[in-house]
Amino acid sequence: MKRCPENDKILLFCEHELSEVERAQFELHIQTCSECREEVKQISSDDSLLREGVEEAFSRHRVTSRIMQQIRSEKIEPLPANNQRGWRYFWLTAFALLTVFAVASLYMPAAVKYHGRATGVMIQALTDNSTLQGAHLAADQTFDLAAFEPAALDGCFLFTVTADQTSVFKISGSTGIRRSEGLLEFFDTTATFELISGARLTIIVNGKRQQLERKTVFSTTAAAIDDLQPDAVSLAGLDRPLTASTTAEADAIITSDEADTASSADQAELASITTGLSAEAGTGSDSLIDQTPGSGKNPFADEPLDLNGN
Amino acid sequence: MNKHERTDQELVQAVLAGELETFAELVERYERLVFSFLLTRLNDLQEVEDIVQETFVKAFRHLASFDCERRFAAWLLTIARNLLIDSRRKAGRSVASTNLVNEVMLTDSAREAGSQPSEIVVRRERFRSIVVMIQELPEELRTPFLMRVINELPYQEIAEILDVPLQTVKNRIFKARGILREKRENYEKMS
Repeated sequence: MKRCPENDKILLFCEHELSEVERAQFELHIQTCSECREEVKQISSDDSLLREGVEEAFSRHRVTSRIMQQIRSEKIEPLPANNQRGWRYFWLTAFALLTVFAVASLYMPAAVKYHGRATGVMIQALTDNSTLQGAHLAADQTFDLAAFEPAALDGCFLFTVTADQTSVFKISGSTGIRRSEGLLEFFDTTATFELISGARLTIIVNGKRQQLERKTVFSTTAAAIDDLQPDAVSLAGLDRPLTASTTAEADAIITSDEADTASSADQAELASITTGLSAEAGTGSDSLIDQTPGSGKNPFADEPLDLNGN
Repeated sequence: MNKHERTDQELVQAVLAGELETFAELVERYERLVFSFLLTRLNDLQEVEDIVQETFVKAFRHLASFDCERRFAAWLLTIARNLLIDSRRKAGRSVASTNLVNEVMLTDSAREAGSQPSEIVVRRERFRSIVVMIQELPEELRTPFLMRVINELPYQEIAEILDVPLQTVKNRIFKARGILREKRENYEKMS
């Protein structure tokens, strides 16, 4: 059914939202338009019916006397002012402070966390003329520090240190290296350090703690430790193929006691290891180190290391 | 409001000053509003009575915390709405039923005493359909519509009570009327 064009004005008319002129015009219209007249009548009738029905219910269900009776009989008294509002302000203030703190924390740099408790240290020679314990290594040759600790390095090396995170850094120069209380300790060091990737790392260099960070390069010399003699490494017998492997003992992180011992007698220990190397090589053994697989066997050490002629 | 009638704020101050019986004036003034607010939201009128009573007792108890810059009616409706939510949570109800139709239209209503039985039946059926249609409206449309029709409040007062812009109130009431009109036409086509 086609609606009257004036139909849209019905609701406005019922809600008294038409201007005086519009209202007068519409009143004239409904005198001649039965459709609009019926619609207006219907809306008005529905409103009245609703109002009357609710009024009737209200008259039977009003509770004014009950309310006042309860207030009188229970001797209810208004609670002190601001009780509720005080809590509202308290929570609003607390919320505001928390919000400020949360937003501020987004813009503040996170607390710097250095990790350094190394559980695995793999070292890769980067150049042909790099040496381990005085023996030449091939470029890209990789070994586990645990198998040679404390190790004497000279050349250019890439370190992959595994702790709770992994850090990769490069060293160019000569250094001795061992683990001390879980940290990597570089001694007799004349080298340049550069963190390539991964987490920042705490290391000890010539007795001082250093934070090895991304994009930072630092050099150090062993001049300050001039009381130590240069290592005298004997590598007799290293002219034949050798196989490197790890042992449980070698893989284990050294304890602090061990580290202390190591730091106090690193020179002597290095000498004993090099002596051991010479002795084993001298007896014709194919192994540089005991090949018995241990529980902490390093997967990187499965490939035999050919130290001959490199 | 005639010039001798005290404002809500004046009545509140009087009650707080110790004129306990003055609170009855506030009840008289707003009981119908709270009642109609709850009417289409609850299962039966006994429950409506209980929550109306609880609303005013709670308002009296916390009267000192009432912010006189707010409208007293808005504050009352906030209390009523919270009590309604508590009530529904306790009872596990989420929707109102149409039982109130049977209670509202009394069989022995004086108004209907002189009417023909057929007229009474038609009238009740019409009332029932209106209530059902109103209950189907979203609350944001239903509340201003009922304030307008049942309590005959001006737009401005509804806007202040609901704390929404004047134009929003007008839009919502017109939208409610439009939906009800459409529903009525569909209902008439079906019947």
